[in-house]
Amino acid sequence: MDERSSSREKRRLQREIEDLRSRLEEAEETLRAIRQGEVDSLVVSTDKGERIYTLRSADYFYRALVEQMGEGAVTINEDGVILYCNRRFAEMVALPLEQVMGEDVRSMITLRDRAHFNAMLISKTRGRKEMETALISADGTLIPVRLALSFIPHETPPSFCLVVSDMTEARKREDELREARDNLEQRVAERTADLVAKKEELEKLITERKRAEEQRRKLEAQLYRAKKMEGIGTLAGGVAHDFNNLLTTILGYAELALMQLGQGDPLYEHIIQIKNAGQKGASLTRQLLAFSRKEARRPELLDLNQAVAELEKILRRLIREDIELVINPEAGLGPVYMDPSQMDQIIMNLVVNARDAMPEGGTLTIETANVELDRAYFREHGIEESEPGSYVMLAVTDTGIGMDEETQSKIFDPFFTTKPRGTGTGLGLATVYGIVKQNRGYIWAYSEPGQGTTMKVYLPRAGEVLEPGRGGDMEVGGGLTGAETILVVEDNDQVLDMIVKILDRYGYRTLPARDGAEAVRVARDFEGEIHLLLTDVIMPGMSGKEVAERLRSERPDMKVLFMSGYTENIIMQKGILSGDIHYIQKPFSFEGLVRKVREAIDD
Amino acid sequence: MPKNPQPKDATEAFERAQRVSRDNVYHLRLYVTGATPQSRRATNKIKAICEQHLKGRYDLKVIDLYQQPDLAAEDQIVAVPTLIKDLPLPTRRLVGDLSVTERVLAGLNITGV
Repeated sequence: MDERSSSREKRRLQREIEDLRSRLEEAEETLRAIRQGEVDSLVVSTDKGERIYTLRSADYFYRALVEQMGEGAVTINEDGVILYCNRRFAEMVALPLEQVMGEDVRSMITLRDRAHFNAMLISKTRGRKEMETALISADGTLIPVRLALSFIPHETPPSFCLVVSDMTEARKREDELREARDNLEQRVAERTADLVAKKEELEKLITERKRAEEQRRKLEAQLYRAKKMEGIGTLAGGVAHDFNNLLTTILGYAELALMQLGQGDPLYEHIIQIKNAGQKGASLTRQLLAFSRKEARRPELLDLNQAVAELEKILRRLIREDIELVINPEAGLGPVYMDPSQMDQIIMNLVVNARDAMPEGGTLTIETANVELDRAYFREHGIEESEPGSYVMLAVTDTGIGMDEETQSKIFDPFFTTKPRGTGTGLGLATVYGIVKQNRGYIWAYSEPGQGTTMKVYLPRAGEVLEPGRGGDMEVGGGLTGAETILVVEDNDQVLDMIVKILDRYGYRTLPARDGAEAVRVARDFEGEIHLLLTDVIMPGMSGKEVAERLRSERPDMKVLFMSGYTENIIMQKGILSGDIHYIQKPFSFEGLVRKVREAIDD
Repeated sequence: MPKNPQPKDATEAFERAQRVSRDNVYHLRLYVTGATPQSRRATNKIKAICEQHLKGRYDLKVIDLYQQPDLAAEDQIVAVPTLIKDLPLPTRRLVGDLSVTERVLAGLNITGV
């Protein structure tokens, strides 16, 4: 061997030794590490590849993890047989560990989902496959779970790892949430329905209210019309009363004039016209009164205080809250004789008027009293034809705007009103006037602008009222002259005058008297015979009846002819003066008068 | 000598070696089996050593043989944990939990460079 090859060989050997040394070092190092327990696992080569054998003690970490975890962990083979499961899984299916191992896991899955599970088992694709299903616990309950299945490679037998998560809590929460949401939805729906219902109710109320309003308006309109109509009847009564006297005068004087003129006179025709017109007027008033009579009136004895008391509730409703209602009844108030509904109407109309005079509130006072009215009193009020006597007074006072003289003069006129257009018929006071007149009463207003108003109604106290008689023809006839003495008692001067003139014309001797007292005096002083007492029925002081009675006691043969302008007497059924009486109704033609006079005297 | 699995051919290996000697970066591979105790210890330890002595110039890979058992064959791993130093050359192998720092430093030829 030469040097070069030997040194090459030397170097080669050195390298080999070096290599061997390091390999030995490493091998020894490995052995050392193993011996000193610094090693967890060994790698073992098999024909299937590298397998790792882990020392048992090294395994602890994993085992603890698996046992501690909240999920169920199962190892199964490809037939589903449980090779291993952790405690949690055993708990889930409510079985002891020994009974779970070796069982087919598919028997613990609900029937419905087994096919799905099988499909996952068969497909050996990589990765984790998941499904949601339910486990059948040994106590029968179904536990909702999520399964995560994954294939474990390199294992013999081929195995799968199954992680089972209990979804009960999650499900519960889902259910709770769903319930809460459903609940909420329901509550919202209920509330909405509730609100809708309330809205409909409200709408219904509104429509009802509107309808009620509508009805009220209609009724008010009806009432207005009725009142207007009603007013007319009593108006007629009031008007006719005043008219009668005027017509009597007109007709009377016309006839007188005709008598004096004779048919050739140029004025004769004129007077005929006056007479005709007067008669037409009388006919008209008769019609008006017939109309007024159609109002069924049933008079009875009434206590005014009681009437007011009974109306009080209604009155308080009629007036507003800002008006104070004061009622001062007089104790021991005398009765009146009239239809109760007419009385109510007087009271109501006066109260309404008083209310309307106080748009800003105030006090409304109703008083009653027994009063005696004498002639002087009536004269003060500009009434010539009056009947002094005992009356019952009703006064309605307001603290309102008051009236001036001009207004006062018109207040009883029909259709006169101070109220704005559309409110009030203008018939309130006219109606009251009519009723008052129908019942032989009086009504006056006392007022100053800004000082308020008092309306005073006087009605004859019952017991003083003569029951009116029947009768009343207006016959015309001829051959009626006579020479008898007639005591004529009439408190209306004009009428008295006229009657006297007529009778004189026919040859009678007349003794005029303006009232009962005078009649008595005249009769006493007259020495001759008085054949006939012709007297008005209603007079101040003494009534015609009283005069008749008084004089009859001294002159028993004296005949009596009553006359009256109150035609409503005709419809009064009650109380014909005792026995048959002679009665003539005003207005009468003087022929009619004379005829009746003749009749009465010849009776 | 165990083969270095990473370079594709000798040229690359050479070039890499050249680079390493220029950069002075340590390429280390630690084979473990998941979270077994020694594996965990070894992992902790090598990290600590690298941070302390090789900060900024090391490249450490931890290979879990539970996940990739086939890789054990390439480096002919017998026992786990095993640490392999690829670079700088020469390659070195250490087995065990690496708990003795001096031995690790000596084994990897880490000096106070």
